[in-house]
Amino acid sequence: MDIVKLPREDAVRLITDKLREIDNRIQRILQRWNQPSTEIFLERTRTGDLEDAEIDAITLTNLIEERDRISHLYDQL
Amino acid sequence: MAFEKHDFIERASLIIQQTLGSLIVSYNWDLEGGKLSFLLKNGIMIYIGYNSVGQYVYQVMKSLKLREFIRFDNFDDRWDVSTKPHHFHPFKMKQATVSPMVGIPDRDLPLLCRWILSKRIFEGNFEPISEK
Repeated sequence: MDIVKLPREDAVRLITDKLREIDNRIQRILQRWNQPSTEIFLERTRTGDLEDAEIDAITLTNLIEERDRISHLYDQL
Repeated sequence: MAFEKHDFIERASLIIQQTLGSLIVSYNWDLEGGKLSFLLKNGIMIYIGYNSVGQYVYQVMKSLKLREFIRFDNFDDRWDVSTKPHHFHPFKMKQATVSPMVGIPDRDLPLLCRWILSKRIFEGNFEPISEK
C-alpha cells in the first residue's frame, strides 16, 4: 500500500466529506424503505419481512463497513 | 472466512463484460456499495452485489414493473429449499426455489450469462444450459 503525506487539515476535510457522503447514502436507503435504523432494516430484510430489499441490504452492509474503516482512519489522525 | 468482495466485484465485471460484451450499453461500478450494474441493449438491467460475509445478490430486471425480475441470493434465510441459504426467485413470483448459485463469480456468472443469452431467463425456473 502506498502512503502519502498531506496536511492534517486536508486529511480531516477529505475524511469528513467522505463520511458525510457515505452517511447520506445510508440515510437514503433507510428512507427509501421507511426504516428507522440500519439494524432494523437488515433484520427485516433477512427475515423476509421486507421483500425485495436484498440489493439495498448488500449495499448497506458494504457502506457500514466502509464507514467503519474510514472512521478508524479519522481516529488515527 | 473473509470474502474478498472487491476481488469478486472485479472478477464479476470482467466475466460479464467478456461474456455479454456487445450487448452492454452502460455499466456502473459502485466500489463502496460492493455493487455492479449493467444496462443491456434490450433494456435488461443486471445487478451484482457481494459483501464481506459471503452474502450476494444477482438480480436481472426485465423492467421496473413490480416483480418483473429474477433474483439469486442468500440474504433472506426463510426459504426452506435444499440449497438453503442459496435460493432463486423466479420471474413474477414471490416464492423462492432451489438455486445453482453459491456466491462465487467464477462459478456463478458464466451460468447466469448463458441463461441471459438463451433469452429464456424470464421463463419459469432456472434451466441449466451447457457450455458450448
